[in-house]
Amino acid sequence: MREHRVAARSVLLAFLIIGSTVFGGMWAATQKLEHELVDKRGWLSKEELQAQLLVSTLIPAPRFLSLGGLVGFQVGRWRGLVSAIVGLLLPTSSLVVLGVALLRPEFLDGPLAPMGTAVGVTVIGLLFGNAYQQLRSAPGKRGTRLVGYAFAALLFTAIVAGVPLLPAAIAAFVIGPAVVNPLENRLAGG
Amino acid sequence: MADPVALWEVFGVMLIASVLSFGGGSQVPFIQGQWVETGVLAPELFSFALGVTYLTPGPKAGFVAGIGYYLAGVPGAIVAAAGLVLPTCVGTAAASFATAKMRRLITLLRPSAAFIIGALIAAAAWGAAQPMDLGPAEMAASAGVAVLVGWRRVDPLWLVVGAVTLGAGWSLALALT
Repeated sequence: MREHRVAARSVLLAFLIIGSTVFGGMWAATQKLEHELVDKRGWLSKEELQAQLLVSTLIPAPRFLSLGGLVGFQVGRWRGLVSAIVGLLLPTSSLVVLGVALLRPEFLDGPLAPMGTAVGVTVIGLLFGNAYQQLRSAPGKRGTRLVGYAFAALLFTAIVAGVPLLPAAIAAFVIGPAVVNPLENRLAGG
Repeated sequence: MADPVALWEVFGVMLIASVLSFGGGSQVPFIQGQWVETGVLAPELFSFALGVTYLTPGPKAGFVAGIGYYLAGVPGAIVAAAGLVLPTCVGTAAASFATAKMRRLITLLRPSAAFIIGALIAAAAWGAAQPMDLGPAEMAASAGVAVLVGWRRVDPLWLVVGAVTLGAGWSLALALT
């Protein structure tokens, strides 16, 4: 884990870039988050980012902002926390206010409708692509990964079938390590 | 616009709505109940603010700034955003202190994290696709984007820029025919 603090303005800049360039919410941003925070700046490891992604689902606040706050706090304490959240929120808030101030609602079902459909379709593909990337990058022996894929399929099915996200995420936190870790330890040791 | 609403009310409602988005829930139903169902804010304005957010980058929660603008102008937009920021700061700080033993947590989650995250993202994709009622061509386009992102690791920003351009061209074509 990183020991040196990052300046608040660097955190603000990083999250302004992220907040200005990702569409589709936090899950659609995983690739960008990894690129900006792990690969480019080295503020945290891939595993730390994954842990923060999961913890953000348990915080009573919007997920993406929570993730920003978690990462901001980790690298820059309170100033980093506030800078990250502001950096994420400022671009979208500004653009939304501009949009509602300048445009009329009829535009959404009229001239903007094809654009909305095109962006929506792209975001869905983006999310599935990110999901594949996460699964493909999973560590572990072949046997562990097969069990992990089955576990992921089960979790996906449960949420799609109507299990609320919070209980599903909590159950995954508990069951995932309980199932995958012992198997990986056995395969690694054997 | 909408009936004017006091800034403290905008802040308070957004703060409560933010806390209610716990665990993947949405601020939308609570805000709708407070202002749309009571007639303070017209439903089409609410929907429009939400719809515009899907065309902008960043967190989807940013739509509250649009709602705040309708209710109380620019000051309303600012306090609405502040209503989101405050519980987020408190919640993330508390979570950060609670997970101060990150190394132990990382070690515990490392073998299974990617599987859990992959499943959550796929479920989010499914949830986003459901209300859109995609046709075969749209499903094929989504699949194509998934391949470009998942296999070819194309920067998603270019794909969104491409989608906006395509959508704009499509709008123009419709307008001309």
